[in-house]
Amino acid sequence: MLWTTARLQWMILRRDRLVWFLLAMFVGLLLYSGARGVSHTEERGALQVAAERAEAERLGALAEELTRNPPPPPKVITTTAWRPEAGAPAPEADSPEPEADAPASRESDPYLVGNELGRRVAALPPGALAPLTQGDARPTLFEVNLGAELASPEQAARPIALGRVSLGTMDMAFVLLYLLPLLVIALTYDLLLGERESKTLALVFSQPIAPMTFVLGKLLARAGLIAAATLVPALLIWLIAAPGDARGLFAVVTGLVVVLSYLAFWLAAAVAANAWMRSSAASALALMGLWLATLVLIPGLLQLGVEALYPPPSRVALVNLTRQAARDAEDALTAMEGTHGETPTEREAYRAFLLRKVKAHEHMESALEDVVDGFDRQLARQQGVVRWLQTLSPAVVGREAFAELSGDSVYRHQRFKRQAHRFHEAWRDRFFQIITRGERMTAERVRALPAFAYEAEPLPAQIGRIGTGIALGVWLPTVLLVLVSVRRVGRIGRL
Amino acid sequence: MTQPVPPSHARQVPLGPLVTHELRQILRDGRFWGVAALMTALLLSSGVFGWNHASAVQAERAEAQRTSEAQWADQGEKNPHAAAHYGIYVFKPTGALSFFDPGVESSLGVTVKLQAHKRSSLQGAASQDSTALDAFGRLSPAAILQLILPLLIIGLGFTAWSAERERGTLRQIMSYGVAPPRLLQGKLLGLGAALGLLTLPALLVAIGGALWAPPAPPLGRAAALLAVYGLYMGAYLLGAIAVSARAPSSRDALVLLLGFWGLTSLIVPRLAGDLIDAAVPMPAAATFAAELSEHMERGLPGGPGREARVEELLGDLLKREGFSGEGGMMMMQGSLLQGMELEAEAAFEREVIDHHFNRLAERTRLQDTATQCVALLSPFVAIRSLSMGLAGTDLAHHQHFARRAESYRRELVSQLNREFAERGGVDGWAYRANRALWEKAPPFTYAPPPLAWAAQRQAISAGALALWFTLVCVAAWASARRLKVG
Repeated sequence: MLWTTARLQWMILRRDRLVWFLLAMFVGLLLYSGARGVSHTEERGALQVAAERAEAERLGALAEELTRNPPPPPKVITTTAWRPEAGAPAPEADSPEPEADAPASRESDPYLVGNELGRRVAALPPGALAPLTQGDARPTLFEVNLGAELASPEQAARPIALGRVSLGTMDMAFVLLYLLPLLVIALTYDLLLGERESKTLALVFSQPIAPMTFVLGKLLARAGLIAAATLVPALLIWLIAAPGDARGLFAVVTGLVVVLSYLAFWLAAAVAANAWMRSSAASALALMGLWLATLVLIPGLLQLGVEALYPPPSRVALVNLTRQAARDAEDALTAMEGTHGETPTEREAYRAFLLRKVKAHEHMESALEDVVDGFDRQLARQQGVVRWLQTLSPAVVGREAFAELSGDSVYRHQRFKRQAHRFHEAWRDRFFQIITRGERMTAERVRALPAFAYEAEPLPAQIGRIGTGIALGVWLPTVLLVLVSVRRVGRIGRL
Repeated sequence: MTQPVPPSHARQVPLGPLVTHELRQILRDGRFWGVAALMTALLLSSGVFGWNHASAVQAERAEAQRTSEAQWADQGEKNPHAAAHYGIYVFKPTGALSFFDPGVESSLGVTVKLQAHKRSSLQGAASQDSTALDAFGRLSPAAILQLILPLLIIGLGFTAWSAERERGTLRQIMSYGVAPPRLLQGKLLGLGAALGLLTLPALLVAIGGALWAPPAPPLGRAAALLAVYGLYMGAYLLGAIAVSARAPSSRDALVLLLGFWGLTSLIVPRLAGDLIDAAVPMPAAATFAAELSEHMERGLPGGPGREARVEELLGDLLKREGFSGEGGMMMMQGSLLQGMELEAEAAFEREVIDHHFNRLAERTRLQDTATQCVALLSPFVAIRSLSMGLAGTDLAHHQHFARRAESYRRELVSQLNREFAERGGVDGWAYRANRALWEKAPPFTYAPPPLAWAAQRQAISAGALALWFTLVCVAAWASARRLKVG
């Protein structure tokens, strides 16, 4: 009987032009948003590739130049021959020292190489399902040099795309989270109530059919259409975008689970509204109220609550704190950089100059450490609270799951930032040691410079986060909605 | 069945009873009071929270500005050009009515370091530390009025005519000889009064917040905001009444109105935003930074190289200052020439910066015009743009601040270079200035643009909203004249 009802419903729906119009519009928007997401991902990927290629070319040219014109062989001296300026650390005993009269080339200058000529980029590659979201608020590219802080060229000069900033982005996450429920509401708000209002319900129940079977049959036809209109375009985009490895497969399967779970929640809500409301208009209003609560009110109120209880750390305060903390060092550095033409060229004086710079950088780094760590800790506390509160709205859980799959989640960005910081520290240490020892850069040293590679999070941790969110935030309310609907639907025939 | 009532047969019934009848019907419904309580709670909580947040942010930025000025004054003795490298941070004040509509402020930077040789973008956008919740937008009084209130208006108005028709009471009323336009006025005023009750908290929050907003109450902007929101709500109310009059049933009226709301508030804005960005693309941040840096090093494309252009500018500068010719050059010693060279370099950098930032500004202007034109397709876009513009939280106000900061940077760097040139003497780079000079630098001040400036930039949006309002007025009037009675 279930299949018969579903087949009959399908025949009715097939003739309904409004249904096909809505489905076509939804599929069109989903494909459009997916295609834009793919092109956005490609643009971002191309920028990273260009940055990495420029880096490889720069370092290649540097190594080539150093091969053609190697720095003069170092002469072994003892520490007694070294008379550093007051405050500068003494080199280790038997450290190599360049010839006294050798002219210093730019390419062999470790400070210039570490800070400018050989600087590295640390890039966060797009996630497995990157076209899902098009967020670009957080930095995905850092420039690694000898500065005390990681510099982000994206943040340093950031042209604002007005359309997206002021009107929002039509990404796949938006279509799936905001418009999919509207499609479900449009196709199901009068699932039963429409029959009741057109007086055909009594006729139906004069047949030997259980109310629940009838409801499920009607729902099945609509759910099948909606699921097909959602999953086919989504799968098409995801299969194009996802890498052909285990991570890609996991992302596609998880994406399907998230979308189907979210769809099930809204279908359950539609059945509940049809079971409990007295008219189709009231059902539509109730479902719109739920949509509003899930997508606007709960996230908005949670945001206000979280900000009141766990205020986000202030970047304004951070600017002044870092400047205050590292004042002496910044003062020394800017004093050195601001004296154009005064840069010492004489070897001894230049080395002393570099050592002063290294010292200032190290001072600045240690001064900033506490301030930046404090900022990150406060941010992490806030994110921790949000992780649990998000389960109050299936939409927030869905958004977070999509962010995880697209590689745009807070966790991934924090992980990237931590790895980039570690790489930055190692980079500075390497060059500061070379400068302190008074050595120069050689072609071998340039070729041996490490490159940054993002190390992805192990899948189980990601599965745990997404799974917990979906179970608590989507499956649990879906089950509750089903439970409150079942008894009521069973009584429909008697109403 | 359409039964226009001939005007000659219609009686001029007093408006009072019609309004009272309509209002009583709404107030009798318990759901209205539930919704009113929810709206009040939402508007008050978001308004009060927004006001607290905006006040705290404003106080923090003012304090940060003072600290930054103190850091500048306490920087110790150094060469004036080294001081230009040390630079000073300036902080953008929050929009005049940001507690009501935070606009796009969270996506934009709040502070910029003003230093020699470079123009930086404003840093410290709150969005880079956003949580999963931020993707859903901020719940502000403006967001509630823009997105949620239309749904409530639809909920109130979709049965305005159709329910009366379905119950058969419309025919009864018409039989008293009440002219449909008169009935329309009654319904409009009755529903308007109910709507007034719903939005009273927002009104009180807006007026209260505007009166207490530091440093001066932006009353003109607040009044303009009230006017545009009045138009927006009026347009939705009239639209709901018009659709209710023409739709075959209440259900159809509701579906049509919800469809319009979804299309114009959710789909059109985002689709348009995406298409605008695709049609007038902004350069990627990394590309923009790389091009700027390259042209700073090598000179602008098609022009002379950096060295040659700096030489040209130096020649012009020396000529202007009366040092041209060999005799003039002979008179220059130590820091005077170095200071002049720095000024010539700064002039070259200004050319490169202007070249890039002007191109960016032109693209932004095109995007802004296109965005406002979308208001012709969506009243939501019109009110969003107007609301942000009047609250001082849109991109135009942000750029106004950024331009002021850049002009201050140029003045400051020039002043320091001149000081170096004039006083450095034979000491050259060894010359050190002290606190007296740092304190001579004029403090950074910023006055937000006046209301007329903001209004001028929102002309298209304002025109679009007025057009929407006029169209629905005509539609409501026409539907009342050709009312379906049964």
